[in-house]
Amino acid sequence: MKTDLFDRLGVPERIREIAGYDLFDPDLRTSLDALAQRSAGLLEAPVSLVSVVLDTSQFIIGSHGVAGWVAETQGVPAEWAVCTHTVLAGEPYAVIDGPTDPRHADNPFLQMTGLRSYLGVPLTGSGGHSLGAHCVIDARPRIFSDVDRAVLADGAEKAMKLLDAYRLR
Amino acid sequence: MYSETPYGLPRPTLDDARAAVHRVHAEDGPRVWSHLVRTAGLDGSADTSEGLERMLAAMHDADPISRLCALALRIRVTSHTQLTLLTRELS
Repeated sequence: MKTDLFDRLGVPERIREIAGYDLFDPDLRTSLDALAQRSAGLLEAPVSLVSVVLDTSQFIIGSHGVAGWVAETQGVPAEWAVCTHTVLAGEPYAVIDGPTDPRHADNPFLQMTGLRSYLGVPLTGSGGHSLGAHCVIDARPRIFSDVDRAVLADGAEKAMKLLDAYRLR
Repeated sequence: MYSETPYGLPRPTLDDARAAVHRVHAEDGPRVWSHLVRTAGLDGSADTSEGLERMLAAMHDADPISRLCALALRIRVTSHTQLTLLTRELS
């Protein structure tokens, strides 16, 4: 497995912060699904996710438009998740066209799903760690605008407010 | 003959679970792992699919950090299973 990547993602303080939320509450899931649906609609994208990136996998905690094996697993191996790049960058991350982007051309997730472009904004916890990301993914090459980034950043802020209501005591 | 690593994805092993527990628990890793091995009824050496399942169950029922580790590994196990089936259907 990708030990170096997992070590970068598996920083104990970051994982501890993620573990401080009740990610399995069905009401939280419903709210985050609605948020993902809203972002997908506003950005006219077929797929939107709210996820946390754990040490070895991305865990989807809210989604719109997810199908197939990803819907079954509710996650993606960390080395295939484009949100991993957003989390490690700690800032908005965009892919204009995956198949022609040397960073992502060999990504099996993009190859299998036929998804090509991506815009993600990190979910930043109160401890300052990037816990996950809110993103949209499109099936066509796409240059995202500053307005798109602002809409998604607003969604990420809303996602963190929702998560804050589900902190474990 | 089908690939054991569909799309280059290896199936997680008990050794991967040990590495994950040590990673996220840092200096407490060896102590937490020893406890999990006892809880799962393993001796830590038999790296089988059944052993991994018992370990993931023990991690799920342990502290919240170990539970997240188990979840991440479970996503990898399920991805591997799903993609193995998919590649069989396509071949």
